[in-house]
Amino acid sequence: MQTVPLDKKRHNRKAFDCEITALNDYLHSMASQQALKDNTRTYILENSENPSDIVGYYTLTMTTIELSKLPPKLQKKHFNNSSSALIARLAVDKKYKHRKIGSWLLIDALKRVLNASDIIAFPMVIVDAKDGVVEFYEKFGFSPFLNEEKKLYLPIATIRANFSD
Amino acid sequence: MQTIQLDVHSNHIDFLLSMLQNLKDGIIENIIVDKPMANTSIENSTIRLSSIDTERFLEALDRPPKIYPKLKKAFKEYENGQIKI
Repeated sequence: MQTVPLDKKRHNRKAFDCEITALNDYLHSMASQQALKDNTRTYILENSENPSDIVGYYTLTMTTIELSKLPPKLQKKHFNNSSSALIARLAVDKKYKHRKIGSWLLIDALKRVLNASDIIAFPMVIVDAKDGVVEFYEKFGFSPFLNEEKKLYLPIATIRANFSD
Repeated sequence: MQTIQLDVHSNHIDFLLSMLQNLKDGIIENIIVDKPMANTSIENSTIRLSSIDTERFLEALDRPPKIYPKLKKAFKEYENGQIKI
């Protein structure tokens, strides 16, 4: 399995249905345009037997870190207005639920983020978790920002340590 | 006086080495190790570190990144191709 950049000629975006309207709509009509404008990158996990069939996707971009909402120890380590990676969206089509595809996509996204941080340094990856998925991210080590329980972060150093032998 | 207590595991070794350097540099003033008699190593012991320079002490306590078993397991499953469509 591997993810590839979204290709609107190759991928049947309209057939994707993860049962969350905002995530469906983004893939159906915005992801490709945002990539053309270099605002976001969307990666697709295809069904290998039918590459037009989208199993799941995630979208990466950059965001700024609100230092005041991090624990004091982390505030001291980073510059004000530091940038970080943002997993803006992550979704699995309802046909493929309960097969650990979401976990696989998260690891794939974190690998891309880790590789990018080797080229241009940034200290963490952030997710804006939709309703009901905060626990999904927390079990992989993400911590909520202060007073923002749906916005979570994971330091790059933690990804690096957990992805090494 | 700022004090921290730490239960020592194998992934703290780098941290302990850095603490020894901090002791040498005068940031840490005291290290007390509560080591079970049967243990021949510092692993599974408890150590207490103390310093009167709180700011430098907190900077020195830059612990190694946490290991999250589910993250590590998911990474291994990813690397080993265990997840199938």
